[in-house]
Amino acid sequence: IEVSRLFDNAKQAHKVTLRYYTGRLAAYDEDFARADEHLSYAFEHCAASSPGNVRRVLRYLIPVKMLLGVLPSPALLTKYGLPEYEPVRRAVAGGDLALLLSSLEANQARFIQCGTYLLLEKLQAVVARRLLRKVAAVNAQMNPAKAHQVPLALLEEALRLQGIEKDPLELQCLIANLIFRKYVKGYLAYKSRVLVLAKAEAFPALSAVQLSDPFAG
Amino acid sequence: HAAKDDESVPLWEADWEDENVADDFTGRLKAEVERGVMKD
Repeated sequence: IEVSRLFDNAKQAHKVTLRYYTGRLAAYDEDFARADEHLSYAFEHCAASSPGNVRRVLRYLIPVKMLLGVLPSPALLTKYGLPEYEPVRRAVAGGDLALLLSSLEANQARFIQCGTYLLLEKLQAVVARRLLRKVAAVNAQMNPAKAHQVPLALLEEALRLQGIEKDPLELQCLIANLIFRKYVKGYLAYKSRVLVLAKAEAFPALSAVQLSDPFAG
Repeated sequence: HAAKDDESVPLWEADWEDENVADDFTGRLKAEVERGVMKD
């Protein structure tokens, strides 16, 4: 109660600073819903006369929101001068794993310096899920009778089209991880090299996904 | 005043996930499969 009273009486600028750092801490702890709450407060209450501070908040808020399934609008990235997030946004929206990896590499030094690299790296699962969703849509069109059985060869082909060669075991590992973290509902039929998708809600909302490692901590 | 007070355009897109699953890439993938490029 005492801390809460202190917070209520604090200056707005101090509240914003506190929420910014609390949000960053929550993001490091992989508690993205909490990180979103604190960083959104910081963003919404940060003085417009301090664009540098708004950018500082957004550098964390943008990846956190994307991990929760919310994209920054192109207008937001332009307005606050964050062009390095534009290809990341496009990669997430389009399921383009090659674009995500290349933009992470191209901006590696900047992202590491800002402390957001590891956060952005986690977007690989979100992008892979989007790609898998597209592959499942193609499979459903081409083979409606077996719409829920996605051959891994089709996913391999999709990755190859993006210029990514994946070892079959590596690909199985990627899909097993997506299933484990509830990005995708289904199971892998190893022998037939098919991903069998759940008939209902095979791709649950990203906000419901298990983002942190359930065995960690 | 706060940064958010300046906004007249949407800053976040929450409902993009179900949209445009079928796009140019999906068409290219389909064409590749139809051409029989896919190895199984």
